[in-house]
Amino acid sequence: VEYVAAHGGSDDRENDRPRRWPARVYGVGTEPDPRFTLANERTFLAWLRTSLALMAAGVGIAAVGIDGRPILRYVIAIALLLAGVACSVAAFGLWMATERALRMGRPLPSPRLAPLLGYGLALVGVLTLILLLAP
Amino acid sequence: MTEDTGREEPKPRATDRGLAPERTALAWLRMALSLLVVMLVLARFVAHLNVVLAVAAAGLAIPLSATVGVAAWQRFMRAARGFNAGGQLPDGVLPAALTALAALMGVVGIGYVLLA
Repeated sequence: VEYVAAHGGSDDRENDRPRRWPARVYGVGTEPDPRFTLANERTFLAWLRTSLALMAAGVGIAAVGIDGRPILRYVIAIALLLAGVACSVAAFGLWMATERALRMGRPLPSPRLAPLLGYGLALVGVLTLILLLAP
Repeated sequence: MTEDTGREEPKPRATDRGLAPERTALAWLRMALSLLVVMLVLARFVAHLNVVLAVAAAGLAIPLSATVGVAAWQRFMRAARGFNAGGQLPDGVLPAALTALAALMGVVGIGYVLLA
């Protein structure tokens, strides 16, 4: 709020517009270029769709009838589902952090989950290969 | 040979700020479709464990994704107005609700794997 006052920002309250949620995002800084806000929203949706895909893969691995190594199948399924949940929660956190950064003219946050997800999926791929080739 | 037929290709105006609201609306619609598909797949597998729960989940999947589709359209209208006329862009309520729904689906999925 101090930041807004200092920068003479276009906070919703000042302009007599409906307050937007969350205040953590809309209470700071000034309105950015709407193209950046919409690009941030699309990135959030892409992360959320990724989380749905991870969950679908997890349930699929658990449900498809592959003989042998039930423990390995179980581990892969749980890992994918947990990655999906983490991905969905991180998606909203990243959306908030990015929108805040845009409003305050700061550098954008880096998606810390991305490298973890990349290497994790590579590992899941190798484990799935073992599951399929060495029953 | 060019002949003036009075019909011209539409040219982007200098004030045109692009198609960002449209791309965003399409991303929301893809989200609604993904939600429908994944919820129905989940319901199909949960049917191995509990048929009543599966039917309830499938019955919930259709109105939920329809709601996301309608909300996508409303958000598009609001975003397009904010985009062109300097109004407000949509806020974070729908993103937060969808995040909660996705996380819940993940928990249901984990429950399925643990019980199956």
